[in-house]
Amino acid sequence: MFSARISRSLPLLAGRTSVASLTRASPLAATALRYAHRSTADSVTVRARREQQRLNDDPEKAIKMPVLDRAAQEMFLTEIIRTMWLVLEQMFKPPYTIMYPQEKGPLSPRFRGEHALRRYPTGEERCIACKLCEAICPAQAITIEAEPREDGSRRTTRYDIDMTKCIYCGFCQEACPVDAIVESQNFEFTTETREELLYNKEKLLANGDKWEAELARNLKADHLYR
Amino acid sequence: MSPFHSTRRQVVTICRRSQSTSTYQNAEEYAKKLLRNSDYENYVATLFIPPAARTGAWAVRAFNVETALIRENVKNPNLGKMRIDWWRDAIEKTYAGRPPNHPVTMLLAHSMDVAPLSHSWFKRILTAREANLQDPQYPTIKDLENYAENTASSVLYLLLETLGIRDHHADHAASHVGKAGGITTILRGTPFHVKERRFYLPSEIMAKHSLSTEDVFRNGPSHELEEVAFEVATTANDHLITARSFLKDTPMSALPALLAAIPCDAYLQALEKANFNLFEVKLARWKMLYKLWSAARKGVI
Repeated sequence: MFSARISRSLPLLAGRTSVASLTRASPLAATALRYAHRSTADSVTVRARREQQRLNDDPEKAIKMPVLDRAAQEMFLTEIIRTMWLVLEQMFKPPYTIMYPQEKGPLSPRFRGEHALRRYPTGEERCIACKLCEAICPAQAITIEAEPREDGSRRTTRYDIDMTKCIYCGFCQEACPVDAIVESQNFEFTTETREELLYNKEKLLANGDKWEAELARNLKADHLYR
Repeated sequence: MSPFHSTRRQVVTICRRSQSTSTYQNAEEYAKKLLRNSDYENYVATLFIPPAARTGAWAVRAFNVETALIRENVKNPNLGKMRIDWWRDAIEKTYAGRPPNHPVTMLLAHSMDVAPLSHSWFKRILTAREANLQDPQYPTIKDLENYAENTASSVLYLLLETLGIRDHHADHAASHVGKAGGITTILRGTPFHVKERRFYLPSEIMAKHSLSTEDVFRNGPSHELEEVAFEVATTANDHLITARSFLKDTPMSALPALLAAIPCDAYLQALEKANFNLFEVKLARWKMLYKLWSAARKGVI
C-alpha cells in the first residue's frame, strides 16, 4: 500500500521538475522505489542502474502521467490543498504531548532502569554473594566483597555498582539465581555529583524496599512452560 | 570455666536453633508461594501427600520450578548455563551438608533429614534443562519423551523418594506419568513459545504433515498444526493409559506422587474438546480441583 502510494506520487513530483533533471536524479529514486518490493534476486541498485540506462536512451519514457492530468494538478494546486487538509486533520486530534513530571508515559514491565537489591518477605536479604553478576557484567560495574556471617551464611559486606559504568544490559538480573539484583522501573535518578552515582549496598537495598511491590509483580510467572 | 560461660553458650545455641527453624519456615513459605504462583495444579496435588513428607515434596517441586523458569528469565543460553551451574554447585553443597542460603536448598537439606533423596535425579534434571536452554526442536517424539523422562519423571521419582517408596511398579507408573506430563507441558506452552519464536514439537511429525515452524510463527493455528498436536497428544495419552495399567500393583501410598497425571489428563481432554487447536484450550480450574480431590479419594489416576 505504502510503496504503491510512493510510486504514484513520485511521477507527480516529477511533473513539476524539468525533464533534464528528471533524467539525472529522480528516475533513479523513482524506479528504485518502484522495484523495491519486487527485488528478490537482483539488488535494488542494479535494477535502478539498468532502468536509468533505459531512460538515458529515451528521456520521453520517464514521463508517465498524461498531459491533461499534469496540467490540472498544477492549475488546482492539489498538493497544496492536500497538505493543508493534513494540517487541518492534525488540528482536531488531541495533542501528543505528555506533561512529563506530572504525567508519565507507559513503561514495559521489562524496562531496565535503576538497580535494586531485593529482600525476602521476612526482611532477610536475598543476595548470597555468589558473584555471578560481578562475573557477567560486561562493563565491570559491579564490585562485591563477601565473608561468612556469624550464623554461617555467606553475605556481601560490600556490593557496589558504578552507575556511570553500567550499560543497563540487564545481564546481572538474568544471572542472579535468587532474583536479588534487579533493574527497577525507575529511570529518574539523576544526581548533581558523580559520586552520588557510585551506589553502595545500603542504597541498593533501600531502592529494593522502595520498589518491592512493583518488582514482585513484574517477576511473576503464571504457568510453567517447560 | 565459669557457669556464666556455659549459660551464654546455651543462649547462643538456642538463638541459633530458633533462627534456623524460622529460616526453615520462611523457606517453606517461599516454596509454597512460588508453587502457588507458577505451578498451581501440582501444588494442589502435593497437598494430598501426608504432612510429614509434604516439605520434601514442596522442596522438590520448588527446585523444579526454579530450574524450569531459568530459560524464561534469560535472553542468552550462556547466562542460563551459569545459573544451571550455580544450581549444580548448590545441590552438591546441599549433599555435603552446607546448603547455600537459598530457600529451596535449605528446604531440600531439611527434607533430606526426613527422607534421603538420590543425588542422581537432581543431576539428571539439571543436565536435561541445560540441554533445553539451547531451544532445540526435538527431531522425533522419542527425543521429546526423553526430555520429559529426564525432567518431569525425575521429579516424580524424587517425590516417590520423599514418600519413602521403593517399588518398581510405582517407578514404572511414575516414568509414564512423567513422560505424559512433560509432553503435555510442552503442548500447553506452545502458544507461549510461539510468541517467543521457539518451537519444540517434533520435527519428524511436522514434516509428515508438511508444516514448517515458520508457518506456525507467522500464521499460528492451522489444520496441519492440529494434526501435529493430535499425534503428540496421542503419545501423551498412551503414556497415561500405560501408567494406569501399572496402578493395580502400585502401593496406594504412592498415589499422591502420581496425581500429577490428573492435570495432564484434564489438559488433554480440554485439548480434544478444542479440536486439538493448541491456541484455544480452555481449562477450568475448579474442575481440575474437583478431579484431583476425587482421584485422591478413589485412588485412581
